[in-house]
Amino acid sequence: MPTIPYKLPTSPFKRLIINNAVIGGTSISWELQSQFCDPGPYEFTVQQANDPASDNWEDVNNTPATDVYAIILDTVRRIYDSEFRSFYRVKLESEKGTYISDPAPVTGVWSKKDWLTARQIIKKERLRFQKYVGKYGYLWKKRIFGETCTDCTDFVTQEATNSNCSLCFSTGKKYGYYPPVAIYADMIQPVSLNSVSGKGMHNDMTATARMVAYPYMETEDIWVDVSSDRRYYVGAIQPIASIRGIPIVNQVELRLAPSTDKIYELDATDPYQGELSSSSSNSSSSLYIDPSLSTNSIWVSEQGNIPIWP
Amino acid sequence: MADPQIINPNPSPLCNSPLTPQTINGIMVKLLQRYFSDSNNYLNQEIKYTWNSDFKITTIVIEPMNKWEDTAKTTGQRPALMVKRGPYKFEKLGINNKYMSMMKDRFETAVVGSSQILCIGQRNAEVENLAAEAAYYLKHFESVIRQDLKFAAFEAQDIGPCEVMKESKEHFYVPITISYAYLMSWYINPESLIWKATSIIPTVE
Repeated sequence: MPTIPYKLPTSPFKRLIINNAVIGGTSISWELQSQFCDPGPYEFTVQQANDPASDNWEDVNNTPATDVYAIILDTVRRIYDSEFRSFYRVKLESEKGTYISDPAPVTGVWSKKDWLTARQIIKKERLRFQKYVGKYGYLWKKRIFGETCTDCTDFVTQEATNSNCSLCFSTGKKYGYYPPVAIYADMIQPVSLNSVSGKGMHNDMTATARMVAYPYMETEDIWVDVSSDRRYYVGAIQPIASIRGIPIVNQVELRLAPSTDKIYELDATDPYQGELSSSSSNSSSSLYIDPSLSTNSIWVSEQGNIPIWP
Repeated sequence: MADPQIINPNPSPLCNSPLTPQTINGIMVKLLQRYFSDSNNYLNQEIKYTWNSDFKITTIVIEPMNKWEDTAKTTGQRPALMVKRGPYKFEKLGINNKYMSMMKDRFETAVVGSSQILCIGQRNAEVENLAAEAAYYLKHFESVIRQDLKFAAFEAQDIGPCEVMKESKEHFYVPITISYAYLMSWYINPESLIWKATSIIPTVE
């Protein structure tokens, strides 16, 4: 019986390199793992979405590129916002199966050396969280794109009108948040103080947390402290470590949601699970995966489970 | 045959106590609580909240702005209608506060005041709907409120623009201004010797 000398990485992709062009003309290239040896031909399809956790990826090249090493030019303009919310991933179809790369943002390109350095820093940072100081939690990414909530959106303006809506959780988008991913936070506990001001009685408990910049986070995402089930809205995000302008570690403002907030009813299952069961590639990618750590990414990305870093 | 009228044996405290800023705060809160306790009252059926005195059940908070005690149980709960008193002014109706009276010791002045109702919620459309509902309700019933609660004037004056406030996440609020006026009259009963004002002037014959 043949023995396997080492564990193969779960993804055949090493990393994606994206040279962004705002008005169109973005080039996407990729590297495959040297250990990857599925029989050919390999058919590559580049996909784009406005959110890394999206369940609605659009094909950039309608006809798969066969056996190319790698450059696909996306001539369509994708960016219209100040956040540069555009992500690419590559789907590889070989004779043995279909593989999907981790989504990569368009925020910049690292050289191989930079990329390895970043990977080491993130690895050490995660080790520090896991072994010593981190609080284990989930990140729920807010849906910004997608189907409009059918229960509470205003007929004319398409705005959410009910902060207690069970379908969109006042995001205005159906199901409100993407399925959660696990992420540690090194937090400084917030001060609790009931006070009265121009907005009535309130207790704005704001914590500061040091967190790895991946998964990609945005204001109004939710981070949950698993042990206490306290749920926080993500506020300001300040990069505190970066390489060539690309953040690696962030200082994140976390604002405690009052216990009556609807987000306490969010659970960890994927609401789209049934609808997407026919498309396994889409469903597995609805969980966000670190864009710069393909080699060592061993996320458990089964539906309905919380992916866990080893 | 009509049912016999049942008269509430417990008269309202408003029957024999004067209107004060605190009373008017209470009136505002009670009016809104009663209205929002039944969703059948709503003009806009998109509004999904109903008020309940049990803080575990209520889906909207309606309280005076600075109330501390019970509000701690619902801190940060949104949406909310917060009643906040504005300035009160005494308006003279006549010289030396004498108005419509020839009586020497009777005085009367008008108290003109306003209150704000802050409609707070997580979404712009949500607070706009809530503010419109509360303001329209008060506007429609202002003549009844004026008559029943003995106001000289009671008017839902304006719905302010939607603003952002920072809480657990960005919240929005819309202020509704209610202006009102009521008359305050009083007597002064002199309590002094009846001879105090008697003039004793020697007369020369």
